[in-house]
Amino acid sequence: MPGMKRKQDETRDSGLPSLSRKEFVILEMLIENGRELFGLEMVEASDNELKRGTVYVTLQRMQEKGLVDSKPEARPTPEIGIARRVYSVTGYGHQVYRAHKVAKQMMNSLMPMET
Amino acid sequence: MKGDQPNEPDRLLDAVVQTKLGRKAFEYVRRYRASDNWIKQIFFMHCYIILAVPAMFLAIVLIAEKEVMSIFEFLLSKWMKAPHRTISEPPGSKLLLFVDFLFSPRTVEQTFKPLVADWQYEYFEALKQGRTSKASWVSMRYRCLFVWCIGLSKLFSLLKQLKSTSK
Repeated sequence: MPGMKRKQDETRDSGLPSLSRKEFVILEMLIENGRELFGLEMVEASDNELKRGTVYVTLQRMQEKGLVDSKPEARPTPEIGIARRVYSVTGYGHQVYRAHKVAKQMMNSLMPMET
Repeated sequence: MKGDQPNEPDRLLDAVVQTKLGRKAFEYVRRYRASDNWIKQIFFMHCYIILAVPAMFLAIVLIAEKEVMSIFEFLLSKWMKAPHRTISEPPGSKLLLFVDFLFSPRTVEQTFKPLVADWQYEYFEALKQGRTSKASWVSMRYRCLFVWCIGLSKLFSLLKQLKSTSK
């Protein structure tokens, strides 16, 4: 979609894009697992950090930012119900995650040590 | 004399006693009434109670059992034919039609359809395992989540609009 593409380009031009805690957790999960994940799998693996009611709103926002991509699951046999969506991280998502991780490490090194 | 004449029941009794079987029965009754054995006396005097009470009890039990069984069968047949046992359409499909009016097709595709897909997945998994109570719980839970999701999506879209107008 042209509107979405323009928005992604605008985000990329304006420096380090913002990433909420939930978005960071989702990116981390997708990268560390190294495979496509269902929304429900992310909720179950997140140890209560992600909720069923909010995960898809977050994922939609991430898709608009161009951090993740999704497609309907492949069904070899016909099944009842709507096909679930599987999510994978994009190249841009990888870059943003790495950048945020480095920024986080730098912030942690700048923090005064607790006595 | 008129008083010496036997009345109707006495004549009938006499007629019965005259017969061979009647005479035997009369003799039997007389012998046991005069018997010293008190158990035999009690049995003879109250035999109708001794026989009738268990018979009545048995009859009541049989009737009650029949009634209870018929009530049980009636309830079982009703339960088997109850509407919640038949699935007319997958859960969440009506709610999806509702959000079609409120949100853009992209939002429906990326937010609401995956939620309903998870709902149906968990619901059918519970039904496959024969856990109908869990299936009901899943349905109830996802209905609440769906409403929560509608509120959240509307809030985000409003914030987005405000952001775009302020620019």
